[in-house]
Amino acid sequence: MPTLKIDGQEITVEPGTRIIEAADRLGIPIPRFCYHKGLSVAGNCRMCLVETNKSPKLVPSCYEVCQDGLEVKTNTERVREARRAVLEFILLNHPVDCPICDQAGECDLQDLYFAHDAKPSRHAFKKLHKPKAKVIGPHVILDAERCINCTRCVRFCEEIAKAPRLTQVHRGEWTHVDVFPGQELDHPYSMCCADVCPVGALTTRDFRFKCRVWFLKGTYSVCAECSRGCAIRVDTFNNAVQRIVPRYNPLVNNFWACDEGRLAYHRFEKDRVNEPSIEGTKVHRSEAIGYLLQVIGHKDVVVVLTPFLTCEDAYIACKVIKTFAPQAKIVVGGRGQGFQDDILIRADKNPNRAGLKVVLAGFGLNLEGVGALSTLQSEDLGVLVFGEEHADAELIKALVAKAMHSAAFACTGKGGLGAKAVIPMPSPYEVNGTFINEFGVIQRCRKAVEPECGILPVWRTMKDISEAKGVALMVNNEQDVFEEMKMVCKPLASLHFSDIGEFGIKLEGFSVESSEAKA
Amino acid sequence: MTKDTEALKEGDLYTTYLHLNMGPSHPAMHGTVRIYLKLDGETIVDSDVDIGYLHRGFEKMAESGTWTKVIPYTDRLNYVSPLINNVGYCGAVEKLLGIDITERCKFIRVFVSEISRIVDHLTAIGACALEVAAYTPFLWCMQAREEFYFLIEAITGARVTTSYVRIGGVRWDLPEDWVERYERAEKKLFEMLKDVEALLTRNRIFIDRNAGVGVMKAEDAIAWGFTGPCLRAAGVDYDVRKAQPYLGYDRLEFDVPVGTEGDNYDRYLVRLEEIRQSVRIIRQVIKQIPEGPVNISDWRIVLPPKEAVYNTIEGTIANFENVMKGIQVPKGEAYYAVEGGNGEVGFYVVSDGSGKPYRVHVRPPCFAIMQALSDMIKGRLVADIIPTFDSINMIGGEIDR
Repeated sequence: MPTLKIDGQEITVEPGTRIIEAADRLGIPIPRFCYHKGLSVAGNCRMCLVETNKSPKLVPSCYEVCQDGLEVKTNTERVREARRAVLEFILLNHPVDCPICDQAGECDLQDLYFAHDAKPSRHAFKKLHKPKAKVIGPHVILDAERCINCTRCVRFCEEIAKAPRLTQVHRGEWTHVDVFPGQELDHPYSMCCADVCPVGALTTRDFRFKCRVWFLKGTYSVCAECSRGCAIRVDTFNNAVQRIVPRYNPLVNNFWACDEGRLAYHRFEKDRVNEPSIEGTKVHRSEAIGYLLQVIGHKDVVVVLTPFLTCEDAYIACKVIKTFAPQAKIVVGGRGQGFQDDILIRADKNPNRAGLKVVLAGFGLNLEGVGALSTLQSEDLGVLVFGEEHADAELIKALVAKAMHSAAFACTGKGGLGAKAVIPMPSPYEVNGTFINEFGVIQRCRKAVEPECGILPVWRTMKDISEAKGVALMVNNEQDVFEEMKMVCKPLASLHFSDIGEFGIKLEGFSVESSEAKA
Repeated sequence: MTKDTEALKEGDLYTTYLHLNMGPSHPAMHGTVRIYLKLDGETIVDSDVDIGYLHRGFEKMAESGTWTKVIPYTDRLNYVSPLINNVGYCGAVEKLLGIDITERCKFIRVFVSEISRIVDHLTAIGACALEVAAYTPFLWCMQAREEFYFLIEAITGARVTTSYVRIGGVRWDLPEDWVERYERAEKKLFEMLKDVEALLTRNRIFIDRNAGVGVMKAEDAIAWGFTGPCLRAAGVDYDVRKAQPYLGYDRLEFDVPVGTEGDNYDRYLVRLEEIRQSVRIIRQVIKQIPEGPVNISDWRIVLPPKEAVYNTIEGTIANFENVMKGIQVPKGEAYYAVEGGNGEVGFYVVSDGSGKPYRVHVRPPCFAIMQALSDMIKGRLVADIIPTFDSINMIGGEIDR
């Protein structure tokens, strides 16, 4: 275990640790462009050069491995000169694009220039021109003049996405990144290339010119498109989602997220159900609650939950149903299986199936699919459906048609499944709650967008049903629900809602059904 | 204790003190101040001076933006001499940054400070005259002041909300004809001053209203924390420009007028003489000011020139980062004091290492002076409040921030 000194501070690290990692641990800032913790080391930007006692020349700290007795200095005049030189060369042909570049405000080149250089230009000639605003894929656009040739995107495509679509073309000062002729940047993680790009050379088409980054408010949340549950940050402005970027979570997704999950917010931008309606007529909420009481008052009641619900929503829903309709048959629908790879994308396109399993187990129920209802015959049927995307939609619609009273919670107008009453449901960006992913990691989903005033969390509506029946539930927010839920759901017993931090928590005693994927 | 608790002799009328509220909305209460008076007839038994009606949260607002964004707020502190506030604040931040400004910039800052001082004193003298019903000298002072406002407008672009000084320099160099403009203003100033002095300085009514009124002796003045003309009128020779020279004041020759009695009349005379001394300083500045750059060349502190911003990537980035993230001032604290129109204007700035101020505190000179107002008017008549309050020259924006 080598022990070394960086700027006088001593640290002992595992063998094979690079100097830059050791410095990051000590909190000593070393500027870098090409080094990325999730990618292999390239050592081509030369920004991380430091002075050491074991070499007469400056060494790249992203490449040099820590040795015993190494003394590293990160702030001598030689190091500062080297950084200024690197920045000066990078900026020689860099276009004056800041006013139109999306990266402004989160650009490494801007920040490092101001912190380490801030000298005027000595370039007296015209700048080179390279392809500008070139669409290289369905989600990514290239501005080659801004490229600083760090090769982060090239390494990402090769090592993480396993689809080597990008490369450096030409040579000398003409070098820039591009796709191969006739090919596109078409792998399912293409937007991550724009994330790793330290400048605005690769940007996402979805976010291009949409909003300046300093107006954005970021909310740490969880993606709801598949059972991986990648940690994301939802950036909003004016109460509307502007973009979604992945967050570092070593337990779930490392640094990456797939394009599909990042673009899913478009589904909830329009055509929202924002008021309850019965048979097409908008009604007051109290009428809707009354109708829901009728639905669960039948001799036979079918409740189709969806794994889009958070654990808290599912728990209160089950509790209220079990209390006032103990005869109800509770099944779980949701989206079907889809494409799976061994990087991040999972086949189960629902975020919280594992969470529903835990919640139902707390009520002594097994998780059963909608298929279990195919043989159901009834003359006195009430059907309550949650969520709008169900693989077994036809089966549910058939049941709804047979029912005397039927109600569906839906986000958009595409939901409803023919039910007589449609109740508004918030989108995954409008809820506070927890999701448990396929591998047993429980994460906090946080409200990024304030929904319209008619759209209340599902558990609130279920609580209103209970109160209409005269039983008040002693919960006022999701934290209260969680604290109650963990009394009956064993895997959650030792957790606190407010302690489920940035990375989530891997639950004990959780059986992993499918194999761990790499990434 | 009211009079009626004393034993009443038979035949006495029942009397009590009159509690009279003067202000905050009152023509003689400059910048909204309330003086709550306890009167026995016309005599002031006691008074309570109530400030804060113009409190706008300057110090709190300063914490919410970058260091540069505080400068327009400083204009609105002492709004009759805004350039002095600009100079004081920027000097404090430069002290914290540990940088030195260019020579030409130092002389420019001295020049604008002294012009502001002249404007401040003209306003004070004019108000002193106005409120004892000498309307004509007031208007003459205003005429002279107008010329200086034209000059300030030519230099900074505004009469009052100047925001001229920047951290590391000033907004732009003086206009090419600044000397002619100044000389025009100076000519008008002396024309008016000659007549104002003729009407006021040996005027029986003015002297009766002001001499011996609002007396504050040297010992008490120091105890109260007085600075500026009010302290010097009491006989204490203390001027920040001489005691702790800044911006090269130690290279300039000027005298500091000192009074003897510490009454309103002395304060008026001190201000009058200070105008002449300011003119003396300005004349030296005109002779000695060197050519050269007005701003330092470090783009981490001053904005780059616009040709660089629009045409080079370095200029664009430096401008963007400077504006968006603010000047990265290292952790620490600094106190920087300048001689304002009313005394020592101090700026105490604390940085936490980011581009936003952690704390900006202003030491308003008239705060200490207003504490003593109650003492100065005790036992005198209501009519004496007016000239006393005027000669203190309390500026609401400065005292309340």
